[in-house]
Amino acid sequence: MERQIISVTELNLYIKAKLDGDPLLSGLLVRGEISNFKRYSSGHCYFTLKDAGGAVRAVMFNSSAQRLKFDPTDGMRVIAGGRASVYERDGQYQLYITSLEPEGVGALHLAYEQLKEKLAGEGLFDESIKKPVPRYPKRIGVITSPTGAAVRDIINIAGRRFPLAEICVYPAVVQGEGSVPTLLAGLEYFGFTSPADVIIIGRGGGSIEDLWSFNSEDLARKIRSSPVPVISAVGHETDFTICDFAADMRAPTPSAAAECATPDKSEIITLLSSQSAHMRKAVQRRVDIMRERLERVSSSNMMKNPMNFIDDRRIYLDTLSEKIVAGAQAGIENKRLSLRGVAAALGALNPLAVLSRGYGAVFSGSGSLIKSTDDIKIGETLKIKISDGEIDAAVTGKRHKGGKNNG
Amino acid sequence: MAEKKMSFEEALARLEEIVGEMDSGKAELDKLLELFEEGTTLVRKCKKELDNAEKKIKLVTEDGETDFPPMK
Repeated sequence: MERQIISVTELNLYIKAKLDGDPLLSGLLVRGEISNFKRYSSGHCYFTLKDAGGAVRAVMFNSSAQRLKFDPTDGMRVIAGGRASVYERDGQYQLYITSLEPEGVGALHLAYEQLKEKLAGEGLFDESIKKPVPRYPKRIGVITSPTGAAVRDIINIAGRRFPLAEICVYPAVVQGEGSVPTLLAGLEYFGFTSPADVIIIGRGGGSIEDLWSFNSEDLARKIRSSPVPVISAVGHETDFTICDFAADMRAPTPSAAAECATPDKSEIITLLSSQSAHMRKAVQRRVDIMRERLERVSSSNMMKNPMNFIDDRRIYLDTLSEKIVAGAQAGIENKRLSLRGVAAALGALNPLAVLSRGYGAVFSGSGSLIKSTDDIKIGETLKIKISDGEIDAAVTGKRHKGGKNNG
Repeated sequence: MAEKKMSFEEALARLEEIVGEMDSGKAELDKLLELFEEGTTLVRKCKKELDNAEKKIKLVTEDGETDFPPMK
């Protein structure tokens, strides 16, 4: 058989045609580990898929790469779907990949974990930046499907618990293409355009794909930029979404969100009644205290019998005045006694004092004291002083002591 | 006082304030009775407001907020 000479291009084209014609190779699912992953600015991704025994080059064009829910990274074990073909310019066969699934976990799950980690790393889920939910909202903004069970539950529960609040529903698309922009618009509306006091964003239960819109990074960032606190209520209690983590509060279900957003009317009424009773008690307590004080004052002796008080004082005054008089008298008596003592002492020296004991002093007519019989003559007149006066007398005789008679 | 303008939350806050002041035992009897009257009025007002409140439910549409259509 004569051998035909062909060009390189012809060879590559021939092999390419061989491969492309093989139905097995056009619908492959290949398990391998990603290495040398590169994403070009065009959006096309180039990498190598390898396992312990070999490697194959792979390309994923932008159109397919755009639909990736997660970021492929080196070392990640994946199942790649696509076809094997030849790149004629290099003469190299490679995998043209249209789908990529992380092995073991689903792509959505991985994407969710990756986004969660990224946003948590930015501090977007920090408890410290979460806003408190108001106790008594005047306006509750609800972002959800206007026809689902979730909106019905929220309206029923919030309306029953706290009818004072106005409930406003922003009709959003809660799953599938185009849903995220409506959720963002709802947040814009209740955060800025026509602010609510609290926002509930959510939907009823569904598959992870149904809930996928609530794992949007844009949604998470929009929630964090909302000046109004956001309660997230997506799916059932066991469903967690990025929206739940970014929100100021996560409610396990839409019904629970309605409870988180509103105080319970019956609790408020109980509170009002207890405060009313409290106030009455406070007044009663004060009145009791005042009455008791009044009682104490009015039951005192002074108030009960004021005359007693006066009488007491009068008696006391009497006692005092008596004491004063007695004291004064005693004082005077004292003085008198001591005066008498002094007078007596003086009297002992006074020559006239002796007269009071019955003696008399004899003076001559000229007033000189007679001390001797020689001082007078018979017939002369005398003055005798006694204690209470004078006596005029005449000398009728005189005898000198010792019998000498001078008369 | 502009009691009419007071929101429900403000009314509750004022009520708590009144109860606190009455509890402190510092107020004169006159003032106490004044507080009691104000508080009692607030309690009545709040209860009445709650009892008479009707659900207000709106739907955001392109024409603004309209009444929410009745649910089946």
